[in-house]
Amino acid sequence: MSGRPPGESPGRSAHGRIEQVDEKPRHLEPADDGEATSGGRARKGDQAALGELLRRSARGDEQAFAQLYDATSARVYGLALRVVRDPAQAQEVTQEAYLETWRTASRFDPAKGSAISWLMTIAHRKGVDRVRSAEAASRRDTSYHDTNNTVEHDSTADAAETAFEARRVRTALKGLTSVQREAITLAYYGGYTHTEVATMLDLPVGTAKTRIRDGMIRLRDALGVGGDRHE
Amino acid sequence: MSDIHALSGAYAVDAVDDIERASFERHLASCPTCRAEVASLREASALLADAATTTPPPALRDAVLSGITRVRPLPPVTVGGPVHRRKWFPALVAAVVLALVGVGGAVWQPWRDDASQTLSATDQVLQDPEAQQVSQTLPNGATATVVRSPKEHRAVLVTEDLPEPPAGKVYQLWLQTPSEDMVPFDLSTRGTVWTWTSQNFRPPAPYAGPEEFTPYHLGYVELPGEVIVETYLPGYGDGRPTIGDAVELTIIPFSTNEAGEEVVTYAFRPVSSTAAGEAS
Repeated sequence: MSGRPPGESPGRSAHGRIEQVDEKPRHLEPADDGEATSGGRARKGDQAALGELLRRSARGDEQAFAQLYDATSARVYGLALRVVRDPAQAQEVTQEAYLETWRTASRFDPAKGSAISWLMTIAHRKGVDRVRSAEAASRRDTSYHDTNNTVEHDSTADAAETAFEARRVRTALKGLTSVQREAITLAYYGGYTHTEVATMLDLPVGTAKTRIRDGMIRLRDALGVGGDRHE
Repeated sequence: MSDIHALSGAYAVDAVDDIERASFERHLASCPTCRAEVASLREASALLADAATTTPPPALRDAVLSGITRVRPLPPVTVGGPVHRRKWFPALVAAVVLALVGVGGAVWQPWRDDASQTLSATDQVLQDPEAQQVSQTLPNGATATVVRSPKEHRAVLVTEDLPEPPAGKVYQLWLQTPSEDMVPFDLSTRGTVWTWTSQNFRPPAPYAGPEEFTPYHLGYVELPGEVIVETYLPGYGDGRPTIGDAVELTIIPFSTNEAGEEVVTYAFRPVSSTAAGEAS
């Protein structure tokens, strides 16, 4: 898979992602504080470039890792913030995620997954672990549960949502049934387990995991990723 | 579990609890179809973050880039890596390790067929397909399951719904010897920093530390072959802990109670004398 030259299949990168066709304009940089590359990213060649940075990081290349950080920190921090909500903790989660990425970079295998998926898997796990351990520590803290039992639309995410990729994801999410979308939102952004999601959405026990799986499959197909990965 | 494959979606977005995670990862070890599906769904979930991007403060970049200078990247996987083994007393029938449910464990990487290098000792036991399992429901409604892996020479105790012990009391683990005596299981007093962070602002209630707040380091310390404990990490002064630091159990002052008595707590302090010392 990774041995196929990029030009062989028109419109497909070495990792099988469907390229954006050229008539679509390059996405605008999200309006931010002008930090050089934190928001800017081009899908074309993106994964190959990040994979290379991760490969070099595995050998201790701190410059490469700095570039990886710049290319991905808004995504990692943004996700951490959605999941743990508190900015100070989101920073800690982000830091933990990047340190873990640095530490385990040699385990990344580009033939089996993209660099961004590797990084975001680590980041998401760190965020979820943090929010669940905080919950366990302040067990039965009513205010925490009160603010978390509705399906929210985070205004921070709305403000940052100027990137093309964000619109692409939201469009793909609209293709899901409302239950699938709500289940995935609670699971992914809320850090809830599927059994908790079932309770929160008044679903029979065990059905939330099916909704999540069906929704994620649809999302995957709509976004055109991960389709040609074989074992 | 009736249809374990159905957990692939929930697993790919971490919407599983620790018990389900361990069972599903056990399943993944022998199911290439699920591994491929999880990998593909993770590609999709990674893009969900695009809808929530937020630029972090510039100081975070400095913190991350200086943090990595103190962390050694893992070398590439080699076959037959060492597994930490502790010498058990031959008289003990089974050595039991307490699993801390809810503590973040090693990251599962489904892209490697042999994942044992990145799994914690607990995960290796829970994922042994030949492990034996014995469950018991306790009178208070909690369940306790011992998962025993002869191959790993270890067992893991997993509890669910175990209530908090009464104030001033803790749970203690006892083992039965072949002669049917019961002996307490003493954990090691030495370990290594598994991960760490710093607390730079006074935590909210129920934190009961002194009003005047001094930032501190805290983290998880791995007691080799046993458990990972959450603990304070004093003794670094202006320096920082490093993952892998050798640390040993100590007692440190925590606060003064209303009766004017000193309240102490446990901590792990670097064994090396090169760490800048604190007053305690």
